[in-house]
Amino acid sequence: MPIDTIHTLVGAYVLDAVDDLERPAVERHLAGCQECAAEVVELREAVAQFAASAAVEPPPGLRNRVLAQVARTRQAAPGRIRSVRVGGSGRWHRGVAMGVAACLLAVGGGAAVWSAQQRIALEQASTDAAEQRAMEAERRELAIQEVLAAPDARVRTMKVKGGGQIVVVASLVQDQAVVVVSDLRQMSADKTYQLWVVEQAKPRSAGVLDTGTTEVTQLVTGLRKAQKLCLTVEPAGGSNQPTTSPVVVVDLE
Amino acid sequence: MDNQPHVGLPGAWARGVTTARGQARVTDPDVTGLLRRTARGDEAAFAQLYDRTAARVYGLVLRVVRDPAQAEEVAQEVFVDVWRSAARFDPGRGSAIAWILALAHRRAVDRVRSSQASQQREHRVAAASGQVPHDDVSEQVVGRLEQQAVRRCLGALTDVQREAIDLAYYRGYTYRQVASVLSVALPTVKTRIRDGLIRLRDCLGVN
Repeated sequence: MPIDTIHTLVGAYVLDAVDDLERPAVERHLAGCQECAAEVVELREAVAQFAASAAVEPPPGLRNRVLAQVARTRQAAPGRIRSVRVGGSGRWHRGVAMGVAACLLAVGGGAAVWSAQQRIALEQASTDAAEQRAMEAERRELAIQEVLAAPDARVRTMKVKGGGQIVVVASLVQDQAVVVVSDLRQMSADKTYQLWVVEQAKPRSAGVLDTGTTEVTQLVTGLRKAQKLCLTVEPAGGSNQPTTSPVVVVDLE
Repeated sequence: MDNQPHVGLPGAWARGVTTARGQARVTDPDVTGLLRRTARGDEAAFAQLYDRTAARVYGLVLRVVRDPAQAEEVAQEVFVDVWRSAARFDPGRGSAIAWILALAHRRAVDRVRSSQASQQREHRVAAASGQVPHDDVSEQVVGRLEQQAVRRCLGALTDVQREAIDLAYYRGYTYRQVASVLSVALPTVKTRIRDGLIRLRDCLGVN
């Protein structure tokens, strides 16, 4: 989306009148434009006054219910959600397999599935670590939506040797890609799949699939200088370098 | 937990102050302080924060979701959210009340959009029977300085600006839906919303 188009969305953004794809785009724009961020702050203040004119006394029971729930609710730690860079030792997370058509035509549907998964993750979350993971899941979900919506996104689909397919949606502008692997052949417990980004013939790990997993949706960052993405079969837990020849190689150039 | 006296008058949700330019301003010096204490786990401060902001949060949520039972649920989620994420409030990015109301609006809109199909049915029913539900809500809100100021400032907007903001903010429509309802082009709606908000900001004296 061109910058001036994004900037005119500032008003709609303040009113929550943008959709889930536009919101992260506006937020990215704001992060790099102090003037725009200042405008958002000012418009939010105006909107808060506007909202105050709708004030209505809440039902009396609400106060006690809120206070009772708060008394048994953990508070989050300060600080912004830390940025997540997948790669290196980062493990793959189970995701939803989507075909090319699903990626391109049903971004909303995919997002819905993701948020359903995230809700399940949230319900299971009872510790800080679980909350961290849920926030990472949310971040990843937003990033995935951004990639799928990127004007320069290119899609490549390949068959995986032994069964299954890999779909890569890459945006060079955003320097990241969404990799969807599905219907892989089930490995024995001592083996697993591992994804690699190849840069100048040097592979670096972009995630290890949990043992027994046959499908995954993964966000891969730092793609600008990469030429290929590969999937290999490795001993359970993954390897530092590929130890077998790839079951699929996707050209990024 | 509730051993602190309630702050101020019943419904003490805002003090209207008239500035040198004769503009009504909402001033909540305490809301920020209460939110900071809330961030340190102070439940009594949170209870006061609730008392200071509940009418605004509930009123906004009710206006968006319409259904009182659902509005109560959403308002409860909002306050638990405020409690949970109080430490993430950044005073460099606006006032505490704007932060809280932004959380509230976002939750209310999420609720509306997740049940948009049924929402649209309700609108059709309301339109068919000549009812405009949000007017009922508006009637409950009388004699507030802010309301007068907001009304005066809304009067300074063009019809399209006012309608676009109203549909987006209180109906939870995306600007695309607003464009379709008002039968105007997408870029026009984006511009009208932004220009309208800027005019509102200037009129309300936000700085």
